[in-house]
Amino acid sequence: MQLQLDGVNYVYSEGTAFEKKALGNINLNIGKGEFVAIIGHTGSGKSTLIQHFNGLIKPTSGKVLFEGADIHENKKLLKTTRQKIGLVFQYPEAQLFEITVFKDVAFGPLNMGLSKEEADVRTRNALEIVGINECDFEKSPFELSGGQKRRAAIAGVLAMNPEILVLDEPTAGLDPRGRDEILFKIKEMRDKLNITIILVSHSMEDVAKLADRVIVMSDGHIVMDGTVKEVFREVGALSKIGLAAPKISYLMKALKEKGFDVPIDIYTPNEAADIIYNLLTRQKSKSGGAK
Amino acid sequence: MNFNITIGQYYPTDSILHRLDPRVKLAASLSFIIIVCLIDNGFGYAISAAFIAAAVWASNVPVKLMLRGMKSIFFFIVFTFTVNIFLIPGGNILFNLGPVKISAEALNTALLMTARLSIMIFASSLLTLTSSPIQLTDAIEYYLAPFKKIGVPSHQIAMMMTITLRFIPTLIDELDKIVRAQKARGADLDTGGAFKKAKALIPILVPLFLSSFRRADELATAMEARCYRGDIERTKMKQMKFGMQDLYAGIIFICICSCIIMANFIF
Repeated sequence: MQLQLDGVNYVYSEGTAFEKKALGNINLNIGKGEFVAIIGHTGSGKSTLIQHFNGLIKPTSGKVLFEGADIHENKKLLKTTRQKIGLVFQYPEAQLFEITVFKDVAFGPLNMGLSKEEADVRTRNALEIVGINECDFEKSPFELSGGQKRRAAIAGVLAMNPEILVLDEPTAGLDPRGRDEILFKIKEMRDKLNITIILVSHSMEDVAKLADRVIVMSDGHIVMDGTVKEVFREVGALSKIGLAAPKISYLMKALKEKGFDVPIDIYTPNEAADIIYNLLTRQKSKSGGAK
Repeated sequence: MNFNITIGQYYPTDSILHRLDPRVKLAASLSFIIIVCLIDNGFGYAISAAFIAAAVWASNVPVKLMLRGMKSIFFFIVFTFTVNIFLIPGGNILFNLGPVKISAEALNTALLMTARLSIMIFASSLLTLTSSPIQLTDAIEYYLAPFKKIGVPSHQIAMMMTITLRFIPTLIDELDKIVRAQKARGADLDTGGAFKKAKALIPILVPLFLSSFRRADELATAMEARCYRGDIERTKMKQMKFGMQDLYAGIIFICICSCIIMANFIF
């Protein structure tokens, strides 16, 4: 297992009046190359959980293992782990600070102690992957559009060549076009770089479209962990914790109730469109044959 | 990094001190601090200390929490004490530790300074622990109001203070987030010399400044959109009331202060 969480508990401000239990007994294994989505209501502990992955938060009890080694064993290991597990925070464009886009993206690789040439190569690659044109490299990051800023910030983490990329709500606050661009790039990264991707998201549609595995958090615990179909099938359990299956699955269910012969475990609009199309052509040919 | 700031923090609970009119509390603690600065007599300090102890007890604020907030100032007190005791010359030598001489005058001054500082810090902490920032700025606005005639924008000053205080926790949260984000990109904030450390702050301060400017801009727009205008005799949602308990508290306070001043003259 690439990343392993073993009985992780986390308590905020332990021993004060503001004590709050954020995570309870998290056991989790994530294998190489998986595409995992983490969903859950606001305050369910998603952000706290992902900050454990690269050691920004030290568990109150329990262990975080990366490739079998406890990341908190020593400082050096923690530092290398932070490079191998890239974490993109929510609204990452808020961390841009350099004079040019290129310099900002190079911040991570230079911190790793790479030579300038090597850092340049990685920066260039990362910017190319997220789809920022060469002509924008020397612009101030604050001149870019919202979606471009977000992609530049993601490139800043990608330039460190992480083996696992963790993204916290990468599409929050973007317009539909910016959103699609980011999602497309994430999918592309996964296919091209073959890295593990962990995606925190509110959008069930995005999750259904991209992820293989879904982890559902509620109240600091993992309540469900399975494939997209396994998890979204449990509509009742999901709605109990304030979540829902992708909207399209409700349409399929409604069609089924009306007596149409459609499967109900369909979670992406594309699949649904195919099925409905087939259904229509079948009916047409049927009625055509009757004539 | 440690962003734990307790000093100047409001401790929300219910007590006689919490319920007092903030104007009374502000005037009392200011005048008390001035009196403590002026007296130089052991009896005066004994009365002041007893009064402060009683006030702390009446405030319902845990003493442990108060002391924790004063940790950084404690160093300052110890420093003052040490400097005074070793550096003030005097004829009446009490101890003789090799080349270091400690005189009775030095010990006296050092003790008085320590008492003075401690009492002042307790008094000002009590004020901020028992009155919310909003109450305090209301009180300040009230006392500044007479100066409006000579062009002091008292309402605007109070508004600025309120907004500043309101945004401190927000900015601390923001700072925390940025620090984490840059750490995730391998930023090293804890090692290296002074120059390297100062340089490491750039990736944190630039985004922090940008976001505070953005926030300020958004707030200004939001206020303007609601047709906010400063000083036009605005009414308050929470009116300050000077009640009977405030009157009693004021009388008790004046009595105690007179005792302290008299003690200073008599002894």
